[in-house]
Amino acid sequence: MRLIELLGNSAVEVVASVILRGKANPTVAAEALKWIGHIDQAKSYAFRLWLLEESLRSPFAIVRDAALLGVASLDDQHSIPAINDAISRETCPELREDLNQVLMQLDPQCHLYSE
Amino acid sequence: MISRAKWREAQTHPPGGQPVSIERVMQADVFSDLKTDTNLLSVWHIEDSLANLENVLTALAANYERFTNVDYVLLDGDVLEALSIDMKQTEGASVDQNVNQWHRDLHIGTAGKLMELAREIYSRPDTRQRMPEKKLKSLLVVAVSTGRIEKSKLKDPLRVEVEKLISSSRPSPSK
Repeated sequence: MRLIELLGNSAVEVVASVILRGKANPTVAAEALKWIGHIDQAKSYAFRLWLLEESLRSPFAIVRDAALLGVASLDDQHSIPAINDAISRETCPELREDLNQVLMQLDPQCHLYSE
Repeated sequence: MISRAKWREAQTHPPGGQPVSIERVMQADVFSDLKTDTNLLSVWHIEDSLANLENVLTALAANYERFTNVDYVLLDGDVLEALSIDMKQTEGASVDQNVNQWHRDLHIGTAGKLMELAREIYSRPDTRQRMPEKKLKSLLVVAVSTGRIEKSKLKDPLRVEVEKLISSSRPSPSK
């Protein structure tokens, strides 16, 4: 992750291509995604957010879970549509519950929509 | 503390198929969440009212290098009794002195008993919970601001982040 801090977008690009093409071991990809949400760097922010949101589509629950933790860490309301999409696709009940928890965090008013 | 991702529910009753036993679907990785030392498993006692839950989780989160979520299992004492697992109060080693009184050691003894415990946790998804990072961040800031957790006991990167949050939440001096 030091590499991303040093190189910014070009390093995120490399990590993204490895993760999104499914070339990384799911456990390793999950660990990387958790850290990607914690990097404090403005220039790679948008790309990192995009990578985390895209990773919510991973076939591996462990990767989707880590991507969600990363999204929660960035705490950006722009992720609300991606979270909503992920909720509609999610087949794992526990992960759906976690997605809803993050949706509540990003948009505390969201429970009002369904009432 | 656990990692919920390792415990995700697998299909134990595939549609139209024979039920599959938990042992055949539960990932081996779950045992990394149940690490024993001298056959003891370190856990924390949570009061029925959950009054001490936030303090315990905050103390555990304070052990990390960065802000993080905490995944945990809330298991009823009856389950341990049914499994004949003895529990002993021992002093914890968290950074919050008040929390350390709630530390317990479970006497697991054998690999078979550990398997039984894992099976109980696996079959009860509602016991596996998550305290989000954002909530723990504010709890930790309060714990440090009020002196419940000493700032000097935090690891450097976490301490820097906590200090940043505390200083940003202070009202700027009026001119």
